[in-house]
Amino acid sequence: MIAACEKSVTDLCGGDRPEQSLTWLKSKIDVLASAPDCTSISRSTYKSQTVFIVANCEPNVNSIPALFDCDGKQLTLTTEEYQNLNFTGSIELIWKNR
Amino acid sequence: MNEPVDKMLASRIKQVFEDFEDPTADAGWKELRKKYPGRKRRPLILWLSSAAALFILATGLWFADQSGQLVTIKPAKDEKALVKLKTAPVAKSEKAEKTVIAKKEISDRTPEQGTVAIPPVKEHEEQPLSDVLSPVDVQPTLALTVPVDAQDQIQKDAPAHELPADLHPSKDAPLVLKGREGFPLIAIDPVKKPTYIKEFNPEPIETEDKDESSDPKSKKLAVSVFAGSYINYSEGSENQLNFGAGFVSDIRLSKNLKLSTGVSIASNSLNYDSAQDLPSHAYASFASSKDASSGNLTTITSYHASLLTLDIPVNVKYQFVPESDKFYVSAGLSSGTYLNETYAYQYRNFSTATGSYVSQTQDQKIKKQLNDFDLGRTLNLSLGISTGFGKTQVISIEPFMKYPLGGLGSENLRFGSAGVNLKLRFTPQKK
Repeated sequence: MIAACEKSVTDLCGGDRPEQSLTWLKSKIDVLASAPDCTSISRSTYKSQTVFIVANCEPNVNSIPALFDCDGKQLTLTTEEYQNLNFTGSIELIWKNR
Repeated sequence: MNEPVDKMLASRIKQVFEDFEDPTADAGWKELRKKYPGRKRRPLILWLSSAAALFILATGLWFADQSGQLVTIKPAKDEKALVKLKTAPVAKSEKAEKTVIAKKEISDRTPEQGTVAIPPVKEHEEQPLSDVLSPVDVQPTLALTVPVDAQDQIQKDAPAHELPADLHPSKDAPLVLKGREGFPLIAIDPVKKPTYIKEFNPEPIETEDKDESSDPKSKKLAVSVFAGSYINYSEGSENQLNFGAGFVSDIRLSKNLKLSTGVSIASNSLNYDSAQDLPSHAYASFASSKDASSGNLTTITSYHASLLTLDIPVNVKYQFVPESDKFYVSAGLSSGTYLNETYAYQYRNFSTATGSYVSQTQDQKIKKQLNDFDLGRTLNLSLGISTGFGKTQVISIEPFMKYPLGGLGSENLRFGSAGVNLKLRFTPQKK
């Protein structure tokens, strides 16, 4: 049972605390903390890889989300991929500046 | 000078410039505005103008129709039409039938024959003519005019028992024959208008208001042109007034059913001023066109889509009156492509590297042509009321609604439309 409880550690890139374990993510959070608009970073799985979604969370603003892979490299999506932007698994909110 | 004085002086100079007003500048702007008056969008006025134009068109066609009908009933131009109009009710009732039989037999006389011997009615009714033509019905103002010489001959030749006493023609007044209960016989003047006589027959006669769909040639296919205005609707978008036009052909399937298909060109526009309701796929083209490696987060503040649609509807039309378009409902699917797609964005770039906006609001347009074909993605529902317009036109008022069954266009926008079409159908002129 103890082993089962310890297995709550996620298999996704960055583990349970990605904002601490991933250097590039930590530095990005530091920058975005002073952003004038509401900004959020979420984590999910897209095309069998862990992605970090940076988005504007202002209620009256629609933003094109930026996707970053585990190494902090931004992904390039085609029109069709944006139209069918489906994430497998849940979208986990990691950080939000307000 | 000392520092406080400098500050006071500077603030005074600043205040003077801030309070400065140049009235000549306002006059200049007014003059400029007079020369180039601003363009105001007034959708309501546009809508009313369209409705007024349609009303004027309909009224004009109506008056044209009325004048055309007056021409057709002038006997000088169309004697046959007059005869047909007068004889039309003859075959419609039993009493009228009696009258016609008698009339035909009388009309068989010619001045050369010089007799009014009337054989008994056998095929249609065993009833002597004297019963049909009662003395009460004989009036001196009528129409069976027999020439004087012929009348003399009639009086000589006709035995007294073959005609009722009251039916003997008089030299003083033309003979008037009436059926029972005052049903009038038709004027017959064998001398002046001998050609009328042969028109009197008991066969059913075609009426002018017969439905044109009974013509075998027009039964199978009928082509209409239409134009209409409608409102585009979509979740999150302001409703936009638009216009479309095209043609449609009706192919007869049965007495009540028609297959209706054609082609139309329709403009559609959507305006998302509040980008919060913008669906994510709406900006897919825009997102992919951005440089993803820049690390910028793009926020869209406004979005406008304009699509010129080539629409191909396939509908089934049910007519409540068989063989007639007077009242019908229609349902089906629309397919089509887009002759022109324009997506206009207003956006700002936010740098995730610096945590600040790197640009002011910018505009971008993405244009596409014939980029996509949507097969059966729009549900069509409509109902229509038709009326004849002149000899060859049928006009229909057709409220309709188009409902999206899926994403439309290259951005997969779900939008529909609702409005009214004015449809005009031309039919071949009857000979």
